Parts: sequence; C-alpha cells; structure tokens
Amino acid sequence: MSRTGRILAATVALSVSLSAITHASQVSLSVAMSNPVLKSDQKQTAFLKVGLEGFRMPVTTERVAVNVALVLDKSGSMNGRKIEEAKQAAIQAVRRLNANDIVSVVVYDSTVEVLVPATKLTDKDAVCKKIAQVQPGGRTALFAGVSKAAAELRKFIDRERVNRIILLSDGLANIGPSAPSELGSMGASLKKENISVTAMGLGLDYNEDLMVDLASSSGGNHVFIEDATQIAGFFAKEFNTVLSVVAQEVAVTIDVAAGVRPVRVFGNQAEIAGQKVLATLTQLYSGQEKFLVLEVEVPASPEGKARDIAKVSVAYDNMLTRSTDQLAGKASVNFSSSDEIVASSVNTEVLEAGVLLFANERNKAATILRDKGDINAARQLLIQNADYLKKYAADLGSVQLDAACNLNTLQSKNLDDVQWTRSRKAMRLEQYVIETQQSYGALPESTPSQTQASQTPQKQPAAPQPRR
Amino acid sequence: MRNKPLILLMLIVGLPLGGLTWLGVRVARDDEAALKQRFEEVFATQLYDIDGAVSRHFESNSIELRDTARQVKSAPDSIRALIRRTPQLRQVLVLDNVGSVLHPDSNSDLNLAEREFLHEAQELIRDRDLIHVSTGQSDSVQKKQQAEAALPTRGEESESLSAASGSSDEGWHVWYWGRGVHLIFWQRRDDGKVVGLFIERGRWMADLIAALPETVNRQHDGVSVATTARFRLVDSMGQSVYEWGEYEPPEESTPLTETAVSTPLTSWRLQAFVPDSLLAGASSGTAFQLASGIGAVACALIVLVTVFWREYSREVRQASQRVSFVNQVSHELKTPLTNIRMYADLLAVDLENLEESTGGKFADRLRVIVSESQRLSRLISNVLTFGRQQRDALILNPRPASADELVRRVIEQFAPTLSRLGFQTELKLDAGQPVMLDQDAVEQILVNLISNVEKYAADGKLLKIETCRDNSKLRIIVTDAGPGIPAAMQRAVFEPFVRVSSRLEDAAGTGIGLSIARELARFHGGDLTMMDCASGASFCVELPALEEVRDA
Repeated sequence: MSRTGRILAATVALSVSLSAITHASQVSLSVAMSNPVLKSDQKQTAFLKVGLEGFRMPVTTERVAVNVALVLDKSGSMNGRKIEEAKQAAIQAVRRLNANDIVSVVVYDSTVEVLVPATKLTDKDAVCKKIAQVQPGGRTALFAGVSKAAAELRKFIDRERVNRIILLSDGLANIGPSAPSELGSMGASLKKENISVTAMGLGLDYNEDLMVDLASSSGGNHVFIEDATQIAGFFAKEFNTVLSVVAQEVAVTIDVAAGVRPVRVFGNQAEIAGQKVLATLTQLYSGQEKFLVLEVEVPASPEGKARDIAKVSVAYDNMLTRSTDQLAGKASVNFSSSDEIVASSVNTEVLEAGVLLFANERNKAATILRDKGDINAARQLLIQNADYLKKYAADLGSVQLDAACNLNTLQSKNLDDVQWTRSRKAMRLEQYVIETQQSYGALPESTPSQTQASQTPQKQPAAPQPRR
Repeated sequence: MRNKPLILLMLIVGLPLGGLTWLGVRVARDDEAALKQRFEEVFATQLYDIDGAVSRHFESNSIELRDTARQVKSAPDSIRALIRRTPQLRQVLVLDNVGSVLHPDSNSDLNLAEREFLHEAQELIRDRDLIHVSTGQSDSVQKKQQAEAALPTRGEESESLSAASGSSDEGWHVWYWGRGVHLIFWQRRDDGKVVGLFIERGRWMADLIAALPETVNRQHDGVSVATTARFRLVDSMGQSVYEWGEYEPPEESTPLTETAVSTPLTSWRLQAFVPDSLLAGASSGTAFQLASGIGAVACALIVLVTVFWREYSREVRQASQRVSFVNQVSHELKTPLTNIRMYADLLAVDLENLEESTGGKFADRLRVIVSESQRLSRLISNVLTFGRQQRDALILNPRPASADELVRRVIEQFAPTLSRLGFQTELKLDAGQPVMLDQDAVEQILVNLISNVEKYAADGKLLKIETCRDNSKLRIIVTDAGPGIPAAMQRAVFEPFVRVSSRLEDAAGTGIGLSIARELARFHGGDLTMMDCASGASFCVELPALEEVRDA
C-alpha cells in the first residue's frame, strides 16, 4: 500500500514539475495542491496554489519604460517636514527615471493642479524645479487628484509601459467622493486599463480603508508611512518594483474540474462563476512570486482513484519580448486511506501559503470585530489565529508562519483605544501585504509600541500564551 | 456773538461737503451693485460654458456606450468579458420586453459581483424602471426614491437626452442608490430587449472631473493673479464633488452665482465663488476717487474760508484799533479842553469886573469861545461814550436828582446858542421830585437831543421840553418844529453812523448822537423813542423813576 502511494505521489510531483517547465524569459507557472494525496471516501477541502514567478530581467537589457503619475497631497496638514520630505522623495524618484519614461506630477489640496502634465522626461530639472516650488495649504481633494492623474496617464497609455499612479496622502479625503467604495470603484475601472494605484498613507490621520481599497481594486501597492523621514525610502522601494516589472496584465483562468467545487480565492479579487475562476494580476516583478490560493471542495472518492482538480491557463504581456505569452498547468489528486501517506504527501509550500492566507482572512475578521467595538472577541480571535499559525509553523518548519503568528499575538495586545488608530493602520497594511505578496512595506516587528501592550493584562488565562 | 461768523463759515464748509459725501456714497453703492451684477453675468456665462463641457462629455460618452451596448450578446461569458475589457462598465443588465431579467440570470452560476449587483438593483428591476424609461411611460410612473423630492422625475431626464441624441431607443437613466447618483446607459433593441449598462460610479465621476478644468497656478510663471475665483461642482446633497480655481472661499460662504447641471446630472449644481475683495476692490477705485474728490473740495473750501476769515478778523481788529485810537485821542483832547474852558470862565469873571463899556465886546467873543468849547466837549464825551459802549465798559452811577433841574441846567448851557439862533424855548416841567438818575448819562441824552434840534431843526425856531412823572416812569419829551424825519428813516436814525442826509452842505454831525442817547437810556433801564407828531420831530426819553436805590 505504501508503495503504491509513493508511486502515486511521484506521478503527481512529475505532473506538477512538467507543467512548471520554464524558459529564461518566461514567467514560471506552478500549479499544486496542498495535499496531492487526499484521504479517500470523505468530502474535504484542500488548497490549490497557482504560483507565478517573474523571470529575472537580464542585466544587459534595457529596463522597461514607465508611465508614472505622482500624486502629492499638499493640503495644510502636510505643512512642514512632511511636504519637504515628500518633495525630496519625488525629486529623487524623478532623477532615477530617464527620457524613455513618461512622468506627470499632480498636486492637490482643495483643488487639483497638474503641476507637470504627462511628458517624456527629457528635462528632469524643469520637473524637479516645479516639484520644489510646491507650497502646502487647503483641504484634501484626493479623489479629484487621482482622477486628474489617471487622465494624465491616459495620454500616453501603452501596453509596453508600466502605468502607475503613486499617491501620497496624509489626510482624510474631505472634498469630493470620499467613501472607500467610491475610490475602489475608480480603482477597479483603472485596473481594466492596466493602471494601478499605489496608495501611500502618511502619518496617522489618513483613511486606511480608502487607501487599501484603492490599492487593492487597482492592483497597486499600499504603504503605511509612519514618519515623514521614511517617505524617500518607500518611494525608492516603490520605484524599484515599478522598474522591475517583467509581465503585465496577467490573466489567470482556472477551470475547475466537474465535481470539484471552487469555494473561494483568498484575498485576490477573483471572480468565480460556476466552475470558472478568473483573476487578473496587474504586474509581476523580476524574480518575484505572486500566487493565488483557491480553496476547493473535493467530493468523497474511493482509494486509488485519480481525480483532476483544475486546469490553469495564464496569458500575460511579456515586457521583455513584447509579446503575449500563454502558460498552462493543471493539478490532480489521488486518494488513499492511509493517513500516513496522506500526511507524507503534503506540499509544505502550498500548505504554508494556504494557512497564511486563511489566517489572514481571520485577521481581517478580527479587524471587523474590533471596529464594532468588541475588543475581547477580536483579541480572542487573534490569539486563536496565533495558535493556529504556531501549530503549522512548527509542523512545516515555516519562518513565515512563525512571523505571522508573532504578528497576530502582537496585534492582540494593541487593540485598546490608545493604540487602535495606529494598530489598525498596521493591521490593514499587513493584511494587504500578505494577501498580495507585496514585496515591501511590511512593518518591522520591532516597530510597534510594546510598552503599553505588556502592561495590559491578558484576560484569557485559559488560552496558552503564544511564545514570543 | 463773536462766534457767529465762525459757525457760519463752518456751515459753509460742512453743508456742501456733507451733501457731496452722501451723493458720492450713493453713487458708489450703485456702482457696486452694478459691478456685482456684471460679475454675476460674467460668471453665469462661464458656468454655462462649463455646463456645456459637461454635457458634451456625457454626449461623447454616450456615443462610446452606444457601441458598447451593441456588443452585448446573450452569453454570460461574453458579457463578463465585455465588462472585463470595458473600464467604465460595472455591470450589464439585460431585460426582456416586459422587464424580466435575462442577465445576470439568478438561476445560473453567477459570480459574487453579479449576485451583489442583483441584490442592489432588485428594486430597480422590480419596478421595471428601465422598461418604463425605454418605452416612454415614465411620466405616469411615480417612484419612491431615496432621492430628494425636488428632483425632476427620472423619465424626463432620460427622455431629454434621448431626444438630443436623435433617437428614442437609448439614453441615460439616473438611479439613486447608496451613496448617491448612479448612471445607467440604456438601449432598447429591436426585439424589445433592453440593455442597461451600469457605469462605475467612481469612474464616471473621475472622468467628469478629468473633463473639467484644473487649478492653474499662474504664480509659477511669476504672474500675480488679481482676479481669482472658485468653481465648484456640488451633488444633490450640496457636497462638493470637485472644485477648481485659486480662490479659497471660507466655509459656509454663498456662491456669487450658480446653475444646474444639464442631463443626466440635473440634481447637481455648478457654483462660482468670488472673493468679496474682488467686488470691493473694483469699487474701491470709485471709493478712492470719491474720497479724493471730496477731500479736494474740502481743502478748497477750507482754504477759501480761512482766507476769508483772516481778512474779516483783520478788518475787525483794524476797526477796533481805530476806535481805540480815536478814544485815546479824544481822551487826550479832554484835558486841554477842560483847561481852555476853565480859563475862559475865569476870563469871563475877570471881564465882568472890568468896566461895562470896554468889556462888552470882549465878553461876546469870549462867550463864543465858551460855547464852542462846550460843543467840542460834548463831542468828545459822545465819542468816549461810544467807545466805552463798544467795549461794554459803560458804568452807571445813579444818585437822587431832580430831572427838572437837570433840564434847566442843560438849557442854560445851550441858552447862548439857542438865543443866537433865535429859538423860542418852551419848558413845561413837572418832575421836580428827585429820583435815582445818573446825571451824566441823562445830561448826555438831553444834550444829544437838544444839539440835534439845534443842528437840524433850526428852521423851526422852537424847542419844547416837557417832563412828567407817572408812578414809576419819568418822561422827558423834546420836541422841535423842524423838517422832521421821513417815515422810512425813523427806525434807522437810531443806528450808529446813520444820518438823514449825508450831503456835505447840510449840518455837520457824526451820526452817533441818537444811537448813544438810546443806548444810554436803555442802559439806564429805560428807552428813547420817537413820537408821532404832526410836524417836526419829537423824542421821548423814558426812564424808571426810582425814589432811591433799592438794591445795592
């Protein structure tokens, strides 16, 4: 029995590796199940991971050209260090670009000013000079600022460029549309034009839901910049990612086999209709992996039966070859009555991703609980989540899960009113970073203020204190 | 009394200035109102142009959407693909001719977004809004809506745009749900099916904003901007959706002018704000001109009045200097005259002691000297009295005295002259009882009256003096038979320096005699009046007849 199991496992592994054959200038696709061998004769759920890894851009080739709009908040609250740092960061970013790139700069307070209309960056000094002259004052017309920036980007919209709006704001949008849903609606529309918005929140007064919705709906990044001195650093990281794009408009289609039910795709805004799952990743970066995890419900099947789970096809714009490439992959499972075989077949990488995203969903639920004012329930959920992550971290020997466990534990201590403004921003950020595999922006664990937290007595004596 | 001319002059300056200011302020206010109206018109035109841009934006958008709507096929996957590749498209609703939903079909496998959408739009679908709109029945349909009652019915909005686009089988429909206006572009197919394209709310707002102007900061170009304004697009709740222009109006300020946005956003408004300083600034020009004009007039008037005042006061001063000079001279004359009279009197006594024959001729000549020196003395005392009166320095010194005796003494004084002129003197004296009188004053009054008779009524040859006393009044009436005083002059003769005739050949005189006499009489508590008489002139001196001093 164990022998047949091993053979089965080997075939599955082979099929996976075959589908993942890659090329030097091709995105590599990996499609895998968390458990290639499932327990027979029972209905169960499993994770399907679709991983896409951007190829390494050859050093010799010219990097991809970008079409970037910088949207800077110059409302009154930006006055002082914030605006100066922002201006410096923007100038430094512009200095990194070259004449193939298109840059526009939009500043807003109560109204919007298109400081630098979209133009090929042939005269950097003129652009930098204009940025340096920005004076803060007024309210926050965030929506209008992004609207105008999108219009600027559209002047030169091009499949061969990376189109990106980089928004820096420190305040609540108080002029014009200001609901997260409205910003999300705009973002969703921009994503279809291959424009993504990176939303950078500065300080503690911005609306993180609005910023996250804008970033997530448009497939951009999200950053929480606590201190103005960090702006330049984050701008540099953002440009690093923008300049390292190797693939765009990555359309992932998962055809789930009949009999298997697609339950949900974690985080990513995929649409599931019937057996078909569609998702679009805006960009893939050089040497970086982005993935989707689909939770599927597999019907009870007899031992020894092989079952196709899904076929995956991917189409994307290759920024190196300037062509639209297609990839395909599929996943299948076998069934065994032996717990041992089932256990030994576990794909740790897929399981790790699944657990991480599953815990992330619970983390979001904790935020919602806390928003309703139920601090205890939120704390309970976070501690539970930490325990869950801790268990898998130990089982899979995963550093990532261990870090997530620590994060949940830490968050459970920072739910009181005093810390909530900050910790909510941190929480929303971490959720977003995990969900989208954002390459930068996660807060260093040491940053959160722990002095307060350690003084707060924990109210769950029954729950074992997670190890720190 | 001395302030009277000053007050007069101030009025001369003040009244025209006040009038001018009032007039100016009115003109300025009218100017401001006119200016404000002009501004309103200018900005209303601008808003109209902006609204034109808005409607052009939606028109071109509807042309785009017409093509999109035509691409809608019945297969759900093709519709989903259309939604995926059309940025502004949020969802597509396909209805059959009676309003049943063909897509998204809740009986098929729907994705999450479609399920949410069906839930959201259930009321719209149930009420068959799109069917009514597309078949033009909307007027009869009164819908309950989350929108304001003041809004026009949705059907009108759809229809007006359909008419504009030249056909009645497509148009905009405005749907109020959740946070506000949602736009639906509908198209009716030949087979009666209605396709509704639900536009991403965030997108059409963003596109509209992108189609509107942005704030142009002209200060970067080194141009200082004097005329700034703020334009604002507000939604049906009055919330600002987008604004532009450098002027930052204070919160809660009211727009200078506003206008409704045309279809499909008829519940939204465009507003223009202008700083008060712009309106005031333009009229401050007129205000400045006005102020400077008034200032110039004021300066001119003040200069004029000052010159006038200085001239006037110099003359007054010179006059008073002259009076005081005359007074001093008169005073200086008094002492030698007194000596002359004294020695003349002594000479007369000496001559009496001489023998009659030789002395007679000398005595006559001496009498002339005495009478002429008396005349001169009277003249001087009149001048001095007048001077005192001008300085308000008259002092009375009443003592018990008999009026009759006073009259006799004065007559005696005049006797030589009167007899020389051939006067017949009639005395009818009936006031022998002493009363409180300032003898000098009364004597001066009488002297003035008698010397007038002597001077002006010599032709009548008659001088009649009556005295009488009744109860508390003493009357002395001096009557002559001369030419009298013309009726027109009767009041004026009491004014100083007035003479009935100024002809040189007439009798000499200063013209102050009657004036002084009356002043003295009044000062004494009485009066000097002219009495009616058939011929000649008759003056009556009326004085209080007090037995003794009552109050010290």
